[in-house]
Amino acid sequence: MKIIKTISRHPHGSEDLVSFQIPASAGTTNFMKYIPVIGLEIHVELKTASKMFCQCSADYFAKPPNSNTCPVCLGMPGALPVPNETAVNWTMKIGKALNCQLASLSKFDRKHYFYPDLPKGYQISQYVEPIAVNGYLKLKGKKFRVQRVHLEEDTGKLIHSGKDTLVDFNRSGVPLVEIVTEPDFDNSNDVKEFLQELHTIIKYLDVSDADMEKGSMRLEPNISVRVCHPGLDPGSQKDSLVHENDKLPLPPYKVEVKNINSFNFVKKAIDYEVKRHLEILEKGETPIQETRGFVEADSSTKSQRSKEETHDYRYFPDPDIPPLSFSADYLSATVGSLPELPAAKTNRFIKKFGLKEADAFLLTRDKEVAGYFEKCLTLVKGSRIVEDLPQKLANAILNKRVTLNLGPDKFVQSVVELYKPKATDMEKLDAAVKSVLAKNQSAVEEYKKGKERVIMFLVGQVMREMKGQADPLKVKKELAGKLKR
Amino acid sequence: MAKRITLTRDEIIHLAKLADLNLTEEEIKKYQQELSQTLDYIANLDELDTSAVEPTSQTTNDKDVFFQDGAKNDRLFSQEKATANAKNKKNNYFAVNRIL
Ligand SMILES: [Zn+2]
Repeated sequence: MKIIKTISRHPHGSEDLVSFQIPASAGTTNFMKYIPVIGLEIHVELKTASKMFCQCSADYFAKPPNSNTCPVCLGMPGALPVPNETAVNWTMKIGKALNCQLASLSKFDRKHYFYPDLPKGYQISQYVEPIAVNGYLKLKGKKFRVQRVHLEEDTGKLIHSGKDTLVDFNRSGVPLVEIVTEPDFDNSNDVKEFLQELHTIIKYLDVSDADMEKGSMRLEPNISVRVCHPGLDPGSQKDSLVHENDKLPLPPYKVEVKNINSFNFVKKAIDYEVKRHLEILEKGETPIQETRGFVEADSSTKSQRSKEETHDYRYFPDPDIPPLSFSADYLSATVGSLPELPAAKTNRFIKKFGLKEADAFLLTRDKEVAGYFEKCLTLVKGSRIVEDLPQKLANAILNKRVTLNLGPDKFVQSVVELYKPKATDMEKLDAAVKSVLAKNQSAVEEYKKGKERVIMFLVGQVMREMKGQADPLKVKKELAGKLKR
Repeated sequence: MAKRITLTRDEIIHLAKLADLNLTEEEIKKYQQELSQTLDYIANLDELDTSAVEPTSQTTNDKDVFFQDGAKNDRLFSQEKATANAKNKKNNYFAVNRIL
């Protein structure tokens, strides 16, 4: 086996070397650098009460097949779709949370293709004037750009069984938000973190169940690998990669892996694909542009090629749906209604409560847990019984040292109980101090020579002698008093 | 004068595929002629001076037509009604030849 190195791009930092193993049989000439180029398409089903263009229920889960349809979502001739105002508003919220520019004018287009899950022969979607564009999400100092956030209708559901494909249109017309990133990722770890952060944001916005298992959030990475020729100056190449990877031409192909419903599977699919592409590129060939499916059983991907042609969707404005316009007031009201988002909450928890960064991050992954933590803190305002109480509360929540089933008030009590200074038996303490001082003459000497830090060693010894049943502050005070004499 | 447009055989085949139509050799030839003529006819519009006309994608001048979110059952189809026009159905599903 031979190891090929690729540089992993970090906008603001050092570079990681990622290794890929290539069969020794593959012939290499020079030492090439390979850099994965990955973009994402994410579909999120909104949890509105009704569908996108009709008033059938958007909750289709576990309903009998084709029991949740009407002329509009079944695509009957002459039925008139009318947009759901809330769905449009929630799409804007997602756009804003991803730092996008919100459109003041928007409209719906028809995207034409034939597939059994699409009753009209077209999907109502957005092409030229999406609701939000040009956003980004920052993660650990890296910026991943969001190209667009648009609104469309979900399709029906297909079940492949024997010689048949069965179609259930209960889901047809449920509002579906599509989020498209720029191909700014070069490794599967960043992709996974990005998706987890996006998932958390969507949950905070309370606009979707974002339930991966039910398919209300579906993930599609598109993957290719860029070959950086050794002839190029690696310095300048690195620089150009660092900020604007648009400046480099994209690889002449990309592979889309469709409809994955787990962050881990996305990571595995990317790792599998990158390795597969490297093997092909090493032979001097170019991988085929195609759509593939993820195979859970062995974490591989499989071609779904049905003779891949360039798509010709013949988008045009849907003449049934008048254009949408949004006043500055409407837009600022929408923006104003956003909750504090996870990244901001993490920062606030660090700054305001002095939490460790990792703990603040973990506490804010679930809005409910973060809220519980803050509720606890309001109950102990001004309390000085326990030092650094916010961090201790955070620890207790994260380590599950105290059950969260308690109400916040009981929870706080238990935590205070757990961490409050121990009652100290002064007689025992006096005896312990004397004994420790007698046994540690050299430490006492050092202390008297001015090496005052030695006292912490002595505190430790006394605490041990007391079997932990003492308040370290009192121990220190006692020791200091005796040493001064 | 209208321009002369001639669609190629490949273009007709492509369009047929997009429209999910199976055309015979004869039909391909026929549409190559007829569709070209249709395009010629529409190309007549190019003679109009539209330089002062704002582009639009709709004709009603309506805008911002929405409904307030909320599920209603008044147009809901029963399973039987929903699948009534289906060529093939199975257990209340629409059934087509397996596609994957
Ligand atoms: Zn409907």
